[in-house]
Amino acid sequence: MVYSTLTIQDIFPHKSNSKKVDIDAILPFIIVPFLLLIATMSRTITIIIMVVIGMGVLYVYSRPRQKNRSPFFFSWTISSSITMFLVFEIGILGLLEVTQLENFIFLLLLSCTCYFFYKMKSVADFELATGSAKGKEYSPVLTSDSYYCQICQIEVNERYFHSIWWDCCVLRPNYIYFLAGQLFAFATILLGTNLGLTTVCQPFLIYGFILLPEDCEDVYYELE
Amino acid sequence: MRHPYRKKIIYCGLVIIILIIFLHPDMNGHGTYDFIAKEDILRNLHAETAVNFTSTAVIDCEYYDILWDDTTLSQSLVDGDLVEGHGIREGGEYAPQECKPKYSTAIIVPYRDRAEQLRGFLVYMHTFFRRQRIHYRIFVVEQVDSRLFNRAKLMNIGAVAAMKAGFPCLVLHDVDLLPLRPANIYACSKCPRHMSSSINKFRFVLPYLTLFGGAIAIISKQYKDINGMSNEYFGWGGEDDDLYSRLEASNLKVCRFEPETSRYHMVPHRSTQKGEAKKKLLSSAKERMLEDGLSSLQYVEVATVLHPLFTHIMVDL
Repeated sequence: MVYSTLTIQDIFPHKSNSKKVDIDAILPFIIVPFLLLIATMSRTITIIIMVVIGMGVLYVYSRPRQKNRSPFFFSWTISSSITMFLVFEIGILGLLEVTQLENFIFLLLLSCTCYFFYKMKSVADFELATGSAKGKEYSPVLTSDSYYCQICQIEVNERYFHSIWWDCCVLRPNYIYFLAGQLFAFATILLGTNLGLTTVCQPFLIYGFILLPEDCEDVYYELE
Repeated sequence: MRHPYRKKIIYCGLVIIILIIFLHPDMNGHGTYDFIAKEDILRNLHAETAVNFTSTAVIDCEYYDILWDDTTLSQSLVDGDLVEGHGIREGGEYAPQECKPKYSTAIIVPYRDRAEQLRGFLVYMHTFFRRQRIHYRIFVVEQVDSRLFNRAKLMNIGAVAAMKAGFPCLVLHDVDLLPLRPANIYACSKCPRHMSSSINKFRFVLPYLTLFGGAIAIISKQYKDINGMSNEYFGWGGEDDDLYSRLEASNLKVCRFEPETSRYHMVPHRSTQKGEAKKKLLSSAKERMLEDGLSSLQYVEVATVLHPLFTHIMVDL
């Protein structure tokens, strides 16, 4: 999937620019649910799909940075978050094995994640608009310790990188939001997958109060 | 995301999240629920022994320490064997020798095609009951025909056999459930009791408050009053909800013990075939109550065998 869009982009780099952007942004919303649906067919297919997605990511990172400008990646992030959210709220909660408190904690963590990433993006946009990210010792000449972000077209001499998954520059002012967002996203996904897996699998207790999934043998059974 | 309506999107998201929390309280399991407090359990138990049961012991059994027993049995007991000299009589009947039990219970287990699981279940349950000082007997009702499994009808057949044997209290038990806490006493309470309210398969959560399946304890007379369970539920599911609506129609309130005590281990297995048209049956549950149940029970008894660990009733539905 990552593959095909990038090749299309490479083959027709200048044709109908606005339309191409739209397709790139929409495509993940079709690909992600579709891939996940296929992945539920059997254990082998799940592993293949996950490996393919991982390889796609590796391929993206092996490309020169300035080529990864498409909104495809940001859409990928959004679509996979939305898919996970819907699977949890509709599929997992529908099995009636998650308590209201657990659901509340999950939604709380999720809101924190959303808030921090939202803040990160808005700070990045603000920096882009005002150009204040250039640091204290900014000189109009590009010096060896400053960088130029090809995608945002902004010059900074503080720690920075461009996150294609969030489609924005991570600079010193918004780095803390980026980090907090990542931590909360990790916590959210950890809690969500634990709740989900212990719901569909046979769980066991560890230390008397932590539930972990143990036997997931019959997860694929109903489709066979 | 450089749009003026970005804030609106964020607010919409927040509103949706709040709506999900408040509009779907039914989408959640219950970590806790109303239950009989530990100190009230003894008062709520229905003390009665089987009609023809006599004990040679002089003193009455004490149950207080059992209720406060906080040990958890290991499910690996199913792989073991019973200790020698267990004193279990033919047909899987047992009563403590050192004291006179106050409670007699018939454990009714519907069964088909899971020999290994049944062996583990029997070994486990006999080890478990050894700690409870009750008089009990295990009835295994096996469906020998090839129709879909009819759990409720097998329960009815087992209940009839148990009542004939004079048992005042019935425990309707699935073969894949193992009680983990010896404090979960297998005697009837005055209200029909849902015993398996905290199963590991369900994350030790009660999926919904009207759930009344898995392992339940009910006084024989109450079971007769509600005309038993429905005979019409072939295939998995629905019969427990039907039983609940029968109890509801007879104004019998269901009770439970606290979640900690009601812990069960569900032995993993492949789910059985689902039956058809459960919704239609369920919607008419209360109307069918009088004509469908113990009063209309018809079956062919193929054989009844007294095995060392259980009474085996084989039936053709």
